[in-house]
Amino acid sequence: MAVVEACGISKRFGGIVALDDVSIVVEQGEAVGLVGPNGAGKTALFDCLNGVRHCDSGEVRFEGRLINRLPVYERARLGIGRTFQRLELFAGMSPREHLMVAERVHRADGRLWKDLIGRGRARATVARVEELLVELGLEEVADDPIETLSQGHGRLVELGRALVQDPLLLLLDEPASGLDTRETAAFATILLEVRARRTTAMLLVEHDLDLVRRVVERIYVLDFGKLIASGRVDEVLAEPVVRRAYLGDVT
Amino acid sequence: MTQFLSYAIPGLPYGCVFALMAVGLVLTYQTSGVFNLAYGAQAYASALIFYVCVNAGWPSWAAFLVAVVVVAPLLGLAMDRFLYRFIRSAPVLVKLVSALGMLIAIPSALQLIFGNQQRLAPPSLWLPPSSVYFHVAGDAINGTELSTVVVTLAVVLLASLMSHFTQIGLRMRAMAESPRMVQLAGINSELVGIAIWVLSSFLAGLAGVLLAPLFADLQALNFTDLLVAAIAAAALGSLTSLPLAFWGGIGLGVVQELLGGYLPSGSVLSSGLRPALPFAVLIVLLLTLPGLRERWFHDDPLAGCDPPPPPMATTIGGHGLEGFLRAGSWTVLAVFFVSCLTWVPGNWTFTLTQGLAYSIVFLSIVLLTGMSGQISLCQASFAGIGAFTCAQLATHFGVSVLVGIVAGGAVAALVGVVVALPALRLGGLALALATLAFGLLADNVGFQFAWSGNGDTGVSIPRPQIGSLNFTSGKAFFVLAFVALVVCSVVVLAIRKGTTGRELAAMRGSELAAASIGTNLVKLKITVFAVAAALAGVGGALYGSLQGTVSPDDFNSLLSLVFMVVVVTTGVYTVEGAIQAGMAYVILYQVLDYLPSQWRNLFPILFGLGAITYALHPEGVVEWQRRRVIELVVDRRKHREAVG
Amino acid sequence: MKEDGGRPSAVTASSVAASSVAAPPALELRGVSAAYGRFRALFGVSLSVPVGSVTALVGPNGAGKSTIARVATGLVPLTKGRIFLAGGDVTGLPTWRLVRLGVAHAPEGRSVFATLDVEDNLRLTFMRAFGRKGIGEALAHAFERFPRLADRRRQLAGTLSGGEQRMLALARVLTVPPKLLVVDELSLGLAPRVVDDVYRALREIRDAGTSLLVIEQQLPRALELAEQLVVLRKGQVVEAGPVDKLSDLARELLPRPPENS
Repeated sequence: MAVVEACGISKRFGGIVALDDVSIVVEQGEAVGLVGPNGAGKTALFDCLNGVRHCDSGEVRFEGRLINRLPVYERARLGIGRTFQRLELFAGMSPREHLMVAERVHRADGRLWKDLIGRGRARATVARVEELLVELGLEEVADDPIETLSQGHGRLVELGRALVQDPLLLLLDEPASGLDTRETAAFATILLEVRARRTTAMLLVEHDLDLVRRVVERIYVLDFGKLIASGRVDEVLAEPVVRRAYLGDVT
Repeated sequence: MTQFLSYAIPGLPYGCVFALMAVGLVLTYQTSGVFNLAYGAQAYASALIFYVCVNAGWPSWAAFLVAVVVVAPLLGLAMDRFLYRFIRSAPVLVKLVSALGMLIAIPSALQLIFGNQQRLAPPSLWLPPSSVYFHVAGDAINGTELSTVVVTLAVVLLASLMSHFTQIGLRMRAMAESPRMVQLAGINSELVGIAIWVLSSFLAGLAGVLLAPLFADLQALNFTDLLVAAIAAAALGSLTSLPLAFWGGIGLGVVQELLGGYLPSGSVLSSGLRPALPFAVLIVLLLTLPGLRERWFHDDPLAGCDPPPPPMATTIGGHGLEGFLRAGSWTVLAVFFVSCLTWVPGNWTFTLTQGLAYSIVFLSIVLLTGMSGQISLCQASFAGIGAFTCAQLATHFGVSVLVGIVAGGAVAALVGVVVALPALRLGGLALALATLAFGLLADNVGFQFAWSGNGDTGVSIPRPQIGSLNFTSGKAFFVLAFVALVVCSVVVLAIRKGTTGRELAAMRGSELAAASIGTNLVKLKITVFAVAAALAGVGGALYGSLQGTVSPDDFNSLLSLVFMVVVVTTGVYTVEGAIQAGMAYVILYQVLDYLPSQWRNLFPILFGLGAITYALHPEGVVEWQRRRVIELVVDRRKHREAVG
Repeated sequence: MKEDGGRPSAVTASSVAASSVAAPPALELRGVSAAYGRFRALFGVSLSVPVGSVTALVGPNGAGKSTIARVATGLVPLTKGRIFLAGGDVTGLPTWRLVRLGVAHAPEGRSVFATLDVEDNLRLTFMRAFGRKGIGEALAHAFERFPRLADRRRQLAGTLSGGEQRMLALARVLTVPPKLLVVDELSLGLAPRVVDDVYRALREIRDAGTSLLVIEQQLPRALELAEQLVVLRKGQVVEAGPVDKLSDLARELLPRPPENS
């Protein structure tokens, strides 16, 4: 069954068409790539999927349910996690606190009265967070303020913050940009582990095609807001129309 | 028709002054990104200097030259060069607090220089106020009114001609969009920026001098009201359109007088609603105008060149000193408590009890601004709601005062939700302006009824008494206030430590990311706003019970601004910060009591200037010094280890 | 004094350029580092744009291309290194001074004043360049070159289409030809036909004697026009040199197709 199904999504900003009748499907536990040149509408599509923006026309279904009008936080509670192209971290908080707050929100622990009577500090939170910190290789910097961390660590924190909520769909927006080769490799390993578990579907926007090829099974290619190709990675990348649009081949 | 005109025409001079201010506000907001709340203070400065010069026997043209042509632009320019220039890309909170600091410091500084005696019958700028020139629809048009309208129209005509037909005008309009793109056209944008500040400050000065004779005496508070009227007019133009801001100002002045004419005279509505109109208009506009939300931040295509704003506060470890510091603060607390019950003289115990009540009010600012990054400029009004609720319940319904205090908090929370519900969807500046308007609305209307604050007479609140437990004595009440503060502190600390506090911290860090992990931002903000209002309400009720009698003046909206500035100066991120602020506030006031009356203005100046340090040290003065000491000790220790 | 700023990058473009051109380069960066607050974007970048030629800056997202463009026009201050325009040290000068020295910058995205009409957009630049007397002639010249703009002279620039906005930006540049033009992703979000127009205009500017630094995501476009190539990665110069030597390398470094294609 499809985790997310977007049908005929269109979005305009001012006079510019960011998305033009785009349809994609991601099955349960599947890893799918989304590539295209700058300004092709990849981030706009992500925004429409997780609710940061509402599409002008088209339908977004999550596990069969129409979620077009739901705000971001409700979609998050349904199980859509996201990382951001420009890091969106909680200033002044440590990586551990990032994961902690995400875990608690996930368990719907945010009731004021629970805070006031001192409840809501479950051991499960701590265990789950520690486990994930180790898995992400963040245990050494777990208590440093986020401002002092590298961009690579920042991306890992964003990934951890999404993963700790056990999302059904994970939207990854250029997670490897700003990472060096070693960090990118480590990142790929983690994504592969997530994929192996088959509980979280992934939609990956990435310019590093090596990473895309390692992690995903199939890809969609966007150009000028239009879907121009989709299918198995190598086949799609070999198509002339894709090579022209994305890789800039003149031949 | 004649009646309509006869009501409308006296509104024109007010409208003109509002319009001048609105145009100047929009001009600087568009070009510098700073919403210059100090604009009202600039108008007051020129009006005061004009008054002083004329009373010293100067001809009015010379006084005008000094007050409006020289001092006003210089003041604006100084603020831009020494303050606003450096915080252009700072978070909204920093900009607002800095501007607030100036709004509070400037009038006090002027009163320190020129004395704070009452100044009656401010002089008219041009034509003598006593002579009547002609009649329109039965209205006698005197010199003040005529000169206000004529001067305004002339200045605005000149300014718009300049804006559309001269090179500097074109450059100013371009600056509004992006100073960097102006630079890319090879133009020195700093010079254009200076020109804009000179022009807008000149408009503020002119508005001040024109407004002054419309009132019986010259007071700073009139100019804060003027500021809000100008903000409302500017909001009519979505804070971006100069012509709309201008006509908005005129319209506001006229409608204000029309209301005065048509509403039944003598009622609270006619005496209150008329001056409150601009605030009501502002609130309605903020809630209804969609353009205001979308164009709230101007859209500079080169905004990417700015570094991201620095984090609001970073935590530093105490390096093993935490235990020591915690023990220290507990000791101080214990000594303070015991001292107040034993050797401290009665009048000081009273003062310190006041400090405890203020601390509770200030806790609401810590919760709202420090922990959640929201700005409310009406916390004093919430304190007032708490106090008046308690008073009315106790005197008219015989409710126990202790219950009344809690009920006061509850009512304040309810009102807080109503105020915040629509405004919270907007940005930080919108909430600040909406709460500022609400505060002034409460001053002018809400607190004037017999069933609320009972106007100037005020209401009385007895000290609580339950059976044999009697809090009427100073020391007993001190214990009560102390316990109340401890309870409130525990509540705030529990919120901070709990999930809600973490969600608030996350929201402060990135609203987008907080939503993407499933935080319902609107609900979270409303919850925290309600809790903050409740804290302020409890603090206010406690304060009222301590004083015995309180009137709306004890909770006026200017006080809200002072509260904000005081807490932000001492430390807005911690519970200790609120308590230090509360104590510093009352102790300083008590100390200044021993000084000559003029020197009391020193106090707002200190905190006004303190607010400016906020841009550099958002953690607050006390916390900043504490960290310096810790760092010093840690350095010493490291040094010793390295040597030994 | 020459090597005082920043650590030198792997290869400097200047070493390549210096052999072919005797005159000092139109633009030269020496060991330039820059940061946005805490975020460091450039690490000791050295490159040069020879006079009268086109240098293309290529590299993946976040490599620091736009930052180089902003540093070259003074919009982002440098933390280390020096900048030279035609041999003169201009490090630390404000943007408007650099513009008067002959640098023009067409930034990424919208580069016109949206709230001013088309004529006022042009007037703002021309008034400074030609004064009150020459402005009529300059406007006439610009409208002759871009008749579409003439039709819309009283329309607000923000209501123009993306392509028309680029035309307006270029009209300013073409009428007052700069010594150095920095172009940042001018083709972004434009239809291919419009991009053709834009590149035709760029070639015109180059032929009129302007040196160009072009940032372009679409590599073939860049290769069409450029003589020199600077490849950037993670805020550092990876390679620099003539296009014919480096185009294969650039393809290699940029997102590339699978080998089996």
